[in-house]
Amino acid sequence: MNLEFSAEEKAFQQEVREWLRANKPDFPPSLTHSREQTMAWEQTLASKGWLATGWPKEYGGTGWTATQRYIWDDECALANVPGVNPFGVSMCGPVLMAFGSDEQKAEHLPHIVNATRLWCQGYSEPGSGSDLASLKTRAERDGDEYVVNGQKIWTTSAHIADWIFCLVRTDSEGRKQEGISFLLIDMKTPGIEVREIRSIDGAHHLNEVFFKDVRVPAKNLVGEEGKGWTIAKFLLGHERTSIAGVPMCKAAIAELKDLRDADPMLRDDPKIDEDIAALEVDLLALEFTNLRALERAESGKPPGPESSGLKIKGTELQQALAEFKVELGAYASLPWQADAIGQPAYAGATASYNIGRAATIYGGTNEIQKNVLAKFALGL
Amino acid sequence: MDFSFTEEQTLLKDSFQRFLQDAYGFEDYRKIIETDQGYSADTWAQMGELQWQGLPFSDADGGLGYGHIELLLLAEEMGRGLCVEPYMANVVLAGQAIAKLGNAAQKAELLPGLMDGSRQISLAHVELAGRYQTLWCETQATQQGDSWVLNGRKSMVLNAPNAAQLLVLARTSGNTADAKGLGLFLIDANASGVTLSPNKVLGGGVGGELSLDNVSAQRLGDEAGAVIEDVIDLGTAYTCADAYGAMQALLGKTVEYSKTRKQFGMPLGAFQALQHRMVDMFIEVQQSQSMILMLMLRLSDDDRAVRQHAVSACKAYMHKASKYVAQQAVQLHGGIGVTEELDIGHYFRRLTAFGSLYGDRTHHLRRIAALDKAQRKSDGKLASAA
Repeated sequence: MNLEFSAEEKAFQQEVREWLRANKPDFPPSLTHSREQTMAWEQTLASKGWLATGWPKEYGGTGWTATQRYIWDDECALANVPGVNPFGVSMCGPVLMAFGSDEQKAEHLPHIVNATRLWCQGYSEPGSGSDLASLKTRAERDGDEYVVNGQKIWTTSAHIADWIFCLVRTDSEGRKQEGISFLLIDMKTPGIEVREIRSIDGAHHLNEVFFKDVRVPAKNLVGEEGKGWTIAKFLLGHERTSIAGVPMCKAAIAELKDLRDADPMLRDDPKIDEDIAALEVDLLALEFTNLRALERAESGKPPGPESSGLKIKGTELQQALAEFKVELGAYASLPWQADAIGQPAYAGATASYNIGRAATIYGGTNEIQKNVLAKFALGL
Repeated sequence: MDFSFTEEQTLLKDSFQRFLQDAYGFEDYRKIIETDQGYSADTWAQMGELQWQGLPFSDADGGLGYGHIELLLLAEEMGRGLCVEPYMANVVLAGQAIAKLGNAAQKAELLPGLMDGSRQISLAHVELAGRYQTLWCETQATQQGDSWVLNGRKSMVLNAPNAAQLLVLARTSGNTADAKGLGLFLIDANASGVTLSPNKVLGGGVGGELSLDNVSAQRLGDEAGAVIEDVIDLGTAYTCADAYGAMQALLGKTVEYSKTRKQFGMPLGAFQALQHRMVDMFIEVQQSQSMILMLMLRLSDDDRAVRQHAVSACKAYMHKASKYVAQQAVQLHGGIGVTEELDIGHYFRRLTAFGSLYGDRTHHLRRIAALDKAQRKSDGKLASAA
């Protein structure tokens, strides 16, 4: 047993730290970034070749080991740089590598790895939340095109995205999972309408996306028609180690301690110390569970039982940290400044706490995760 | 990055598990815990023949020279197997205290018997008034010529009724709560002035209240405070691994039971409310395993503060996690879960005792906070005046 970084890994960590310090974006951290800010930061990363950290080199990725990616994520959280839009790099890209045609790879992967196209994900529908496979948005074949009609909801970043990958129904017969297909759609196609949904942090991340007779070239079908559910399941099992949000939680705890120590009324309150220690202990358990999953990934083994609870425990901890910050702020948390983080210290505490409630809902609610665990880990 | 055990460690763990499965079943265990000595002398002697008691002692001390990873693997199997042999009291507490503080002559006198199982020694450090403060000590040691005389009271002396000798933490100078001014003293259990009131201990084993009235003693080593703190930390780590083994057993037994027990025409495991409860138990067992691995990696750290933090973090987490798993295991078994007839209730008691031994969650959270503040002060993040 050994967790020490190798000399090469330590050197890599140093290199990453220095690069992030020198290239950190000059706009202030925010809960929502504009399209321009998002693209600017991602293009900075892309120009260094460090945007697609999970991709192999042949597609323009970094080809990093799991440990290098762990170091990268950790350093990004420490440096407090904006996150990367996950829909292109972490979702659409890996799907195309695994299921896409050569033409689709050539068309899309360079735009993702160079951050010249922004993606969003069309999964949930008003009637299909946890029961995703009941989705109704139809894609009917008409010559060389599909004609898409229906509605998606909770579509993060649809208002700033260039492309959307969608689960659509191509067949209504048989098992509901079998009539689903995976389709890539240009957001500029006529018939697409995006409507804003304002979330309880007061900001605009979420949207409804309406499709009315949207004509999509049939070559934008990924994989076989009717096999979209397989791709959806592939994505759910993908990147489990990043879902826990360990680096983000570490940064949050460091901030809580700084806030406590800067406040004479909190500095010597043993209850606050105990509460922070409890959060820290939960984080340590999460971090080591994450490291176990990472070690398996690095040695090429399939995810073990330890990784199944990562989403549940990780999102619960993220929420607990946000909740604690609100309470630490007392009156200072109440002035309502949507889309503000940073100074003053508690300006964005409630907004973060509010939107953070989504963490246990998106990506498969924690209740759905428990259904899956009951079946596959416990055989119930 | 590597979380794997060596082949030798895996083989050792398997042999522990097999031995404990064969040593005694649940019905034998129930008879053993009703006896005055609270353990099986036969099993203890067999362990001695297999040199288990020598496992964590160095080669120089005549032991097998294994590290704490092997010790925690053994503890895990002890917990899983509901084993009540006095390993913790003799080997981990008294044994390590002697190994660290005793001189050559004392080690030569005490350790061989301890390692073959023929000699039992208990560590007496707890005083009720100090709650979980390991070094809280009112018991006094006074020097008289070459020897010492002890006066005071000790509580929760694990396995004391079976011990021929006792190691007593006593104060040579300073105030009750001081970390300095402490010595470790060896006395005969039947020496003049020693009174022991035996009691059974929750979760198996026996212990006692010790009263010392002008008892003559020999001293081991010099300042004993830091060593005893380290020994109690190792003991805490040991009990964490033991608890992890017990938690795995409870989870496995509960899931199995839920597949066979039917109500409303369905197995219990078909009900979503209960499925989610068992998933929560499963996740807590997984997180506890992560904490045990963390402990195994950090217990050998050169920095004492890192080791202390690791022990306290593991205990703080596992106290809560073990309580959850134990309570839900009883709940999901229903009425039969609150009887002595089923092993579930016995694991429950074992885990309850685990929670209170050597500091509960609150105690260890406070210790983590204190360690963190000390670190922040030395990092300059916290003004030393604050």
